[in-house]
Order: sequence, then C-alpha cells, then structure tokens
Amino acid sequence: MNDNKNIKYIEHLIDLYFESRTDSAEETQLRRLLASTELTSAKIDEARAVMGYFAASRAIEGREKRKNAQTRILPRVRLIDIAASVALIAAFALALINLRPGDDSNRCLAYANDIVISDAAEVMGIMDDDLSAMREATEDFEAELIDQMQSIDIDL
Amino acid sequence: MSQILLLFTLLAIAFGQAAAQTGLNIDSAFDGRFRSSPDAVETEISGKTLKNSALDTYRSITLTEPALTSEIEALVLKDGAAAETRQVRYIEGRLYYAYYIFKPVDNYRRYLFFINGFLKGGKKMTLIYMAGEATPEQINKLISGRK
Repeated sequence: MNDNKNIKYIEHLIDLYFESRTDSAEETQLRRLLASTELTSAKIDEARAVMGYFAASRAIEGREKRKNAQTRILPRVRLIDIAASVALIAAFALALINLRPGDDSNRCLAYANDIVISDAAEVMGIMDDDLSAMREATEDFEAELIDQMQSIDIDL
Repeated sequence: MSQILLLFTLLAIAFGQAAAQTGLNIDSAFDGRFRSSPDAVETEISGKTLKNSALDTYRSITLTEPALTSEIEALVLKDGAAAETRQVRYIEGRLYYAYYIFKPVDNYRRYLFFINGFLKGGKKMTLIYMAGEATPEQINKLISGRK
C-alpha cells in the first residue's frame, strides 16, 4: 500500500519534472529517489533511464568543458610564463655580465665650465697632470712612511 | 605566477642597471654635477685610448675650489671601507691622501686615488678612478712614468 503511494508520489514528481514544473529541491529529491529506490514502474524506469542518460551526458559535457577551458587557457598562461622566464634569464645574464663593470666604449672627453673638450691630446694632457699629482702624492706618502719606520727603529 | 615572474624580471633589470656602475660611492661624483662648474675639470676616458695601460676606464675630477671638496672626501671615505688595500693619510682630521685598491673580480681591478692639496697649501684636489686588468705594479709604472 505504502509502495503504491510512493510510486504515485515519484511518478507525480516525474510528471512535474518533464513538464518543467519542478523546483530545484523537488528535482534533487526526484534524482535521489530514482537513484535509491527499488520501486519500479514503467514511468519510473523510463525516467531513470532518461535522467540517468542526461546525468551521464552532463557529467561528460562538464568534463569536456573543463578540458576545453584548460586547453584554451593553458597555452596562453604558458606563453606568458615562458616569455617572462626568458626575460628573467636574460636580465640575470646581463646583470652577471655587468658585475664586471668594464667600459668597452671609446671615450676621450673632458668637461670644464660647461665646455666639452674632445681633443684627445688635450684630454690626455689633463690625464697626465692628474697622474703627476698622484705620483707626487704617492712618493710623499712613501717617503713619510719610510721616515716614520726609521724613527721607530731609532726609538727601539 | 606570471606576475611573480614579471616582478623578478623587473628586479633583475634594476639589479643589472645597478651593476653597470662602478659599484662605488664616488659614482655620484661623476654624475655630471661638476661639469658646469668653473672650478672643476672632469675627464672620462675609455676604450682604445687606454689600451696600452691595460685599463678600460679612467675618470677623474680636479677641483680648484676648496669648498667643493668635502662632498667628495665623504664619498671616498665610504669607499675606503670596501677597499682591499688602503694607503691613507689625514691632516687635522681631514682626509688628505687616499689610495685604494679594491678586490679584483676575474682579474678586473678598480683603483681609487684622492689627494686634497688644499690641506697642504696646494691649489687643487684630485680624484682618480681607474679600472681594468692593470695590476698594481702596472699602475705604479703608469704613474711613475709621469714627471
């Protein structure tokens, strides 16, 4: 007796479902009942077959959609990542080269009072003056150092 | 992920730019600030002109105005902390003479020389930066050849 009632209730939900009059709670309940009940009738079996097919199709469709989304997004993401990686490696390589701060450009310039002196002989003349100042100062430093050492020797 | 890589790329580029400098504090003295001064002479020599000296960079600043020297003195003192070899002399608490040799990288050496002649009645201050494969002995020969 109860079985009949239940069968009728399920068939009622099935009718509502195929007439698109079920709300989401009723639809969920119907799916759960079809999946769990051992009750059978022509309508219930038919609904189970159709809804099972739809559920399976939806699952496959969902998987394919996710797969398609991945295949669409992944190449774009990977291209950006690869480009960024290449740029990163190139930048680090340049940085490593620059750690040795050599200057391969050919320059021979002097600047004074907003005037650029590009005459090489004149610039080299300034360099000579600089290095002469360096020589004199270094000689003075060494002479004083020797004096100090000698005075320490005498004191000892 | 891409944003992180981009950030690292920008950092690496910035690092590269920084490394392109001499790596010394005196870099800021060579930023062009003295080029328009009537009391300064700045030189910039690199490449072929220096090939006989085993140097690839030579830069100098000569100042004939004592008031301008303290800024350079401070920079030179900072660089002295990183030098491998130092010869330093002070007069009345001021840096008078400094000759620094920095630790070589792949046989690439950097030298910094400073003399403040004003402290001994002179008329100029000289700052020299040299870099290249020249050894300290070659630098000594280079300067001793000047009379």
